[in-house]
Amino acid sequence: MDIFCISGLELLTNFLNKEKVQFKLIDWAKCVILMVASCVFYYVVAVVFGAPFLQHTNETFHLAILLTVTTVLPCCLALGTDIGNWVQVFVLNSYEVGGPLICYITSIMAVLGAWVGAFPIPLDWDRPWQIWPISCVIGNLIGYSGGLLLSSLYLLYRYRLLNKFKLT
Amino acid sequence: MFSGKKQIAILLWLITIYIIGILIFTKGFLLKRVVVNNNSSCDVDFSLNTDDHEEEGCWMHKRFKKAVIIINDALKYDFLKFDESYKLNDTVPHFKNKLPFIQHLLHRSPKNSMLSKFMADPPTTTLQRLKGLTTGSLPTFVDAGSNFASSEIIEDNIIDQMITAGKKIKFLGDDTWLGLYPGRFFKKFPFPSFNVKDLHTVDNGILKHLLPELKLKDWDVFIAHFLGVDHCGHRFGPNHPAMSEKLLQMNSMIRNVTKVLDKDTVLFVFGDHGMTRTGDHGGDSTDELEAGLFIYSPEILTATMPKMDTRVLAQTDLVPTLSLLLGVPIPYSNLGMAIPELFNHCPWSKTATSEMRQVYHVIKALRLNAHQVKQFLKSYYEISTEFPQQTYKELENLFEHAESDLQKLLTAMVTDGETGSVLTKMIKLRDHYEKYIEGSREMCQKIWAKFDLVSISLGLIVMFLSILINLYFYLAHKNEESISPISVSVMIASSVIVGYAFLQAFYIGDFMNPFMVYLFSLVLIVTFLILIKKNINLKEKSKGDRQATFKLPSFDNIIATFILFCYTAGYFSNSFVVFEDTVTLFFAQSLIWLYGIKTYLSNNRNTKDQKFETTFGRHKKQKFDIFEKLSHSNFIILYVLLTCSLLFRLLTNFRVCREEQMPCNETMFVQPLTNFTQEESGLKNVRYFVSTACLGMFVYMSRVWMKHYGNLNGDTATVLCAKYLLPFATVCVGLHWAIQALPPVVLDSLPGWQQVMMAQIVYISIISLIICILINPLCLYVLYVHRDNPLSVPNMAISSPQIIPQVFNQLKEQLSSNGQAKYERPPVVYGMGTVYTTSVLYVVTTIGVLLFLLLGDGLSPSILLASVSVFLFIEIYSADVSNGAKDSDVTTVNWSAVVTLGMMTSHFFYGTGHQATIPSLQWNAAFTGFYGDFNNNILPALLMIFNTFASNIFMGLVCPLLVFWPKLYTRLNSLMCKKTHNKEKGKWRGDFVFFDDGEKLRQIFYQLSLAVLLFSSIKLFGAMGAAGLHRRHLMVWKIFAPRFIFEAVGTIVSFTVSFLMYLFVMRVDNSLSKFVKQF
Repeated sequence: MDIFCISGLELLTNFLNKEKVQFKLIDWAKCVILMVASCVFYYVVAVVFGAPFLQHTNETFHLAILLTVTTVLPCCLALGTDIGNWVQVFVLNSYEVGGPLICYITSIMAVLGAWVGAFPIPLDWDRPWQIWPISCVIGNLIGYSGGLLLSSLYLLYRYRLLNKFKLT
Repeated sequence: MFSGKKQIAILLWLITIYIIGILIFTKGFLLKRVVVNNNSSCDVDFSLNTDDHEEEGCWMHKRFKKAVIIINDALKYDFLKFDESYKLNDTVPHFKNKLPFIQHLLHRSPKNSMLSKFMADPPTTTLQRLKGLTTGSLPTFVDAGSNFASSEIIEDNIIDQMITAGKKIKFLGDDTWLGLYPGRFFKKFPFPSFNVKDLHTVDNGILKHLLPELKLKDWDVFIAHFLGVDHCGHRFGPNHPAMSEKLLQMNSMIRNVTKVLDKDTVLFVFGDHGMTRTGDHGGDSTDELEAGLFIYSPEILTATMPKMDTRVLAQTDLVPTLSLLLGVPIPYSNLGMAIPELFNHCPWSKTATSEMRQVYHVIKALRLNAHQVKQFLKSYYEISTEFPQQTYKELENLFEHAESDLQKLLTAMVTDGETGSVLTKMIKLRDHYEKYIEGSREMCQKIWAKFDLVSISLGLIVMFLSILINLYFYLAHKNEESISPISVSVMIASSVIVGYAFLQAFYIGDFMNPFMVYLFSLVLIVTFLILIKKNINLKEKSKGDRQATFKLPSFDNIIATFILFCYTAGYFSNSFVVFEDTVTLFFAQSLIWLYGIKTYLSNNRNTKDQKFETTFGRHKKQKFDIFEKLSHSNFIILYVLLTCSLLFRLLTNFRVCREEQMPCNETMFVQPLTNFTQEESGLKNVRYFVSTACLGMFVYMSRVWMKHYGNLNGDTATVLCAKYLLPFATVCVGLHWAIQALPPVVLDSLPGWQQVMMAQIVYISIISLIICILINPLCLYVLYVHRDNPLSVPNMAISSPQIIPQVFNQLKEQLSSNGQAKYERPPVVYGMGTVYTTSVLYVVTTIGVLLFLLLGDGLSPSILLASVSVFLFIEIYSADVSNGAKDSDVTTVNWSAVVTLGMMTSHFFYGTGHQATIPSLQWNAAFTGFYGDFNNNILPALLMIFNTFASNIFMGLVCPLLVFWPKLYTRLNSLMCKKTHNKEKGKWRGDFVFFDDGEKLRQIFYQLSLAVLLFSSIKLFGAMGAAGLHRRHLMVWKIFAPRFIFEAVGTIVSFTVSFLMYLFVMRVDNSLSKFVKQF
């Protein structure tokens, strides 16, 4: 968790330095509301996908919070609270190279990771990590980190391309 | 493009080769064992006649002259065993401690009685058990199929041995025995066994004759087979007051029988199998296998007090024990072991005092037993070569070793007398014999689950080939190519190969090498792969010309295919099969959400150009209105999606647990209402009314829908039936449930026809509804508008979707050249815009009511949940389709939608309280509306299929809606889409657009059927492959084989339903064109 808070903070500082996005109090409030809503949303989704409804509530909420932190939080920081930006990135796929791109890749990878993480739960290996929702948490984290790696590689590639064009 | 007849032919041909593939595989997978037709005879070289105590008898002197065998169907060990942990005032479960007399006997005369567990061999159906109990042999899995059609036993068995020995057998009870042993009993009182609702007829019938016949003393062996406990279990479950009543009745029966027993008589009381916690049996769970055995005789049975609490006897042990006790030869193919505890006492030798004599006496019995087993193994070894060489040799050695040891010991005994070292050696020898018999049994058990690898592989290859052909047709349906000379010749070649494979597997397999079949099949598979490849290229090319619109298979299709393959791969892991209900839920939800996201994306991408600026304009100041935002189409999609998946999630409440899933909470919904006790009557009422309300909702919803679109006007037979007969049938279903929920005493006092009348009325109504819709599949009403009758048609058309005069404007233009219109104005036709959908929905509702009846009241909310969530999913799907397509486009069916629907089917199977195990079959369905007494087993089998594969049937019926629904542009659809449709502009034509191009409609349905076939056969192929691959797996008979069987039957049901629906839609189309020609 800490790692992600830190990475989120890094993102935040980056943006404060680069683009000087001004965060107003109302934006903070909006972010908080959005994140709480997304927590509840992820919880409902987890239950709908087969998580136990009344048992393990804490664990399921933990997963929901983690998913929020890996998906909604970076997006809040990078895209702000304006839905228009979000739609532009997630629906129309027209993102700027930079923060929004990282957000796009990491959040999709994080959700996918959590999804794939549910696969080994029914297996009868009796491993401690097969208990709900540990494997999903691990999958989520791996997905997120993979997303970070992937997006950094992609960014590198894009910057190379840009530089090439500039040179010629 | 080719004609409908060719399409039907291709579909039928595909289904046929699929079924041939399944048959070949099944033949290899579920083999019967070879029956050795030798009989044991009295004179054998191994029996020692030296120490007969002047008592006659074959092989061994007989201990008892007479035997009374009381079989109490489904008498579990738990019922027999007295549990002393309950105190006087404790509430004891209804099945516990209800046979106190057994405990009394065990206490009073411990050396005269014995109680132990009596493990049955699966399958635990009565017929199979009787075979095992009389021949001493092990049944194989496939024998289970012949339960309802008893057949005579020709294998050597104890009944025939007794008759040869001149014993007279008297029989009372279950008439299954007479099917197995016709003409063997000198006096018989049979009673019908099939009506499981009838608790008392058989038992009271037996009890009436039992004591008088026992006292007549004209018998040597007396067999009585009671059914009450089993029927009570089937009907109420073990923990029900009726069970306690029944067991107490049995208790007094046993007491009376023991009173009239003579000194030379032995009494066996046992169950042929146990029962699950729901009171059913048939499978292989411990609860079902654990029957109880109680033996009693007025004379001393055993020299030592046996510690039977920990001993577990097999049911095959009954045959050798009984044979040796009565002094008849052990049947030839017996694999059981004489119960050693019963042979350590011999009234003539001094067994009471000398432990060595006891052991020696046991050895004598076991040795005879071992000789018989050895003889059987030897002759089996000669017939077939399946015995594993090494194990067989090891067993031979063990036997030889024991024999030589015995000789040495006998000489030692003569020379040295009864010393301690001889005793230990003797005990060792006894263990050797026991080990030999047990080892032989285990070996046979293993090899009788034997497989014909050639047939298995041929079945898999044929299946794979069929899937490829199916895929080829699915991809190539648009191209002329699919019916070109090349493909026709390949098709003919593959039918020849499939036929050849069939012959190979069933008729000539023994003399012909299957190499040629493999070779040709491989060639064909490669050919089809090339054809498919070519087809994909061709498609790319043709599309490529038109601005390169062709991409790789779309995003959702890739994910859907991936999920399908994951699911299929899951069949290869036992854990995924065990937890398949969760797995299917997960995948189905994933696919539903995938569709939700897809719809969301298409919805917003669509409006990219038009509305983006206004809706999402960054700098435009808008007044923030929460309601406006929340009723935005994107949010509506979210609501629909959430409702759909929440309702779908609720289905998990109806699943039952399979044995391997423990710990797990049983659902209360599969229990019949009569099982509720007096204290739970409030719950009982609530459940009944909720169920009835759900049933009512289901029918009411479809009725409202039809009414809204104007399909319930007029007075044709079809419409009248839908209007009146369907609600009537629904009410009858509700009444049937009410009758079934009556307390058992009240229910039994009703005559049989009254108990089943309601259900039979429902059957008749449903059959007549189906006949109506087949004769006249259109729910239309024509209103001729006269000139002098100025009906304001255009206004009405705009205000409600009931009237579509526009359609008929066009029609009139088209047809005006043919005939002259009778009226000035075009006639108004009600329900024209939903003509196809209504017919399909009509069938769905009708068959739906039948499924409600057969699944029983508990599961009725689950059908409602499933149908509402399917309906919502179709809404989401159609929102997506209408976002992507223009109004005039007639779109083909999306592969991913078929996969989603199929995955929902797979989960719905669990949602209807089923599991892919034989114990979880809901046998009650076979008796819905019938009072036992079936002449053949077709009808109950059909009812069982309707009950078990309700999900496949329901979804197969719903599938055509995927095509028609998107064209309806329902209210919900328009809420979910930003795009405005022609409905508002007054050009709404509904699914009547399909009528424009009959060819196209046929094409779409042909493709839809192919997609359904492809989906189910890929799943089946996975189940087949898993069963074939894991044929030596520990769990194969518990997990993989039942999974395969359920999948195979389910797939055939899906095939049939989707093919019938294809024909039905064609029928609707035909009669619609006839209808239109009238004008």
